[in-house]
Amino acid sequence: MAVAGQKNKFTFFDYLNYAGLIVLSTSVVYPLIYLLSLSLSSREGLVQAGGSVWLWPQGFTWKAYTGFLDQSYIYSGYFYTVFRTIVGTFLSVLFMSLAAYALAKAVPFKKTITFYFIFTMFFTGGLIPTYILIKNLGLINNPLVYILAPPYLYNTFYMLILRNFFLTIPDSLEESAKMDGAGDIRILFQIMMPLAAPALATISLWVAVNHWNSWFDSLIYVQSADLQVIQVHIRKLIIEQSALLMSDAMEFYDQANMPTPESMKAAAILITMIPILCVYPFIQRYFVKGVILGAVKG
Amino acid sequence: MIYIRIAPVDVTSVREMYPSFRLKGKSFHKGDGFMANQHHSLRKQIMKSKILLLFLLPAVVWYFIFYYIPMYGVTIAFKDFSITKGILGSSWVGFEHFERMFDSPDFSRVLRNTLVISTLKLVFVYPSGIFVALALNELFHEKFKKVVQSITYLPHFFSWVIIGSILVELLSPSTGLVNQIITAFGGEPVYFLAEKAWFVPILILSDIWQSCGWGSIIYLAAIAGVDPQLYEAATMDGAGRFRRIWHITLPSIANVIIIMMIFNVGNIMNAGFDQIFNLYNPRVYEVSDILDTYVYRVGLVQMNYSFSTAVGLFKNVVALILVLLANKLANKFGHTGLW
Repeated sequence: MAVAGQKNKFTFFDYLNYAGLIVLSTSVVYPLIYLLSLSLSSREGLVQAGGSVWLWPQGFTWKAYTGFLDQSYIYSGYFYTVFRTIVGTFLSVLFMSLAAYALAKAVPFKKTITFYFIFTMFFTGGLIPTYILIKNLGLINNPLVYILAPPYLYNTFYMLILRNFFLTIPDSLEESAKMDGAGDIRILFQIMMPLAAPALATISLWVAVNHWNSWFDSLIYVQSADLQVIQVHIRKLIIEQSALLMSDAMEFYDQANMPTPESMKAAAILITMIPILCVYPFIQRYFVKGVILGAVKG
Repeated sequence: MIYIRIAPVDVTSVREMYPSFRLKGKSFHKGDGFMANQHHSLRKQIMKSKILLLFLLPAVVWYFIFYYIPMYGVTIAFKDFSITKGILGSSWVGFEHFERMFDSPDFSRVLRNTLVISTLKLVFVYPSGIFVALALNELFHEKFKKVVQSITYLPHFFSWVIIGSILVELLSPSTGLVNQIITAFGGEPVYFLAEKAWFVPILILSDIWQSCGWGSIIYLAAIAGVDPQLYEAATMDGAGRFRRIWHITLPSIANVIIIMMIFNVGNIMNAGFDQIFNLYNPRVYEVSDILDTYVYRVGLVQMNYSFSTAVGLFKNVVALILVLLANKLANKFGHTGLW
């Protein structure tokens, strides 16, 4: 905090504070650098270096990555993750906007309907009754479940944030549009949605990240490996330590110049993280705005 | 969870501000709607806003199917559910599953673990966001602050599958970085994720790692609203760094701190399913198995649908009561709760 008269008086506390935050930041950045170096290291390089990587790759090979890119489950996993992130986010934001806009207007039963939505934030049937429902709906082993099942298509919290944003748009705009003969549909799509673009962008990003990171629905509702999302494959490979997946990826290589299993796992983690890391610098400020939007509005 | 208020639109006052318009023989009233039209019949109101109701229809149907049908589905907690007979066809057994649950040593273990882990998180993880916010606020260099913020927010965007995978890799007893360091200094490698003494500390530390940066945003926003003149006056009076933090910054954000704490307490039945599910293994079940992971294993792995639903229902009812109490408390502190 730059207090007048106190500027640049660096005390012991400041050194401690800066050092602490540098340590915290390093704890985030270093594991990523370590994984990157490990994934690019060759078996011989690792052996020569005594088995470990610190900062730079030991030896250099892309084989850990090319080994995975030969795997069909990487493509299908990526496909379903990208599919749900794009289609799921689009439909979710579209349907949530429709409902949020209606709730921001004077519709009959508004209070009842709002309560009907909000109640589900505090009480749900739970895991098993939802599972039985999904089963009865025939959505088991069906990729549509990624888009339809809760909490994805409608998220009450996001919907209320959108509604609060619509409430801040002056009624006079809608009024003049109505006088010009515009109906509710035109008003929503040609006037309200463009005005709500900042809120829509924020909510879209939240929904998209949730979709990218989701794994539990794929794990419990979808059994066929070729329909599961990428996160589930990474989970199987590293957390459940499925030997089958690993040996599949490795059989292309003869023992001598094959990357170590650790390099391949590091590559697998990075393959899943890279899209988030790539878009993160650009979208970060929208997320921060969104937290403030959700907290202060109302 | 962050708090929001469901603000009703004050239709009548808006209507007083604007006179009615007349155009092409139709009359338009500013703010025409449910409240303003109580003299109209319900049918007319519905016809009038039929497009808006149509916008709401998919949401109402979706919530009915995906939330309210499973709420009816909890009746299997009082039945002997079998897939072939269905929910309606299965026979009632009363509170049998609940009696079995309260007698079960597994249940008391998972309940205890849930409460222990979430209490530890309340004590260590929840304040970490406040500390990061205070630390960031004391920096002199804007650029440095921005960089630290960008870096520390990042783990919030990783799923627990990713963070769990990173931890499994870093903590691996044979090839993990941490154990390489330990052995380089002549120590014995430790299988961290399979040691009961290490598991819970790892949960707490990794949760702090993931959430402290992101958790600081709301406090930073509150700090930004503090009047700089207060700091200037305090400095003139000879107050040092810590006294300014203690007497100005903290009291100014006390409301946010209290509200966030109340909601954290209301959320105490959730010890963090995603995190624990991606880190635990049978060797540490004794300290790591929580209600949610237990419901998952008993229900979806062992197919004990009714018993698992009973445990889940117990958890949801207690959680609901806690959240309602938390909200009441939040309103008492002069703040808008969730409604």
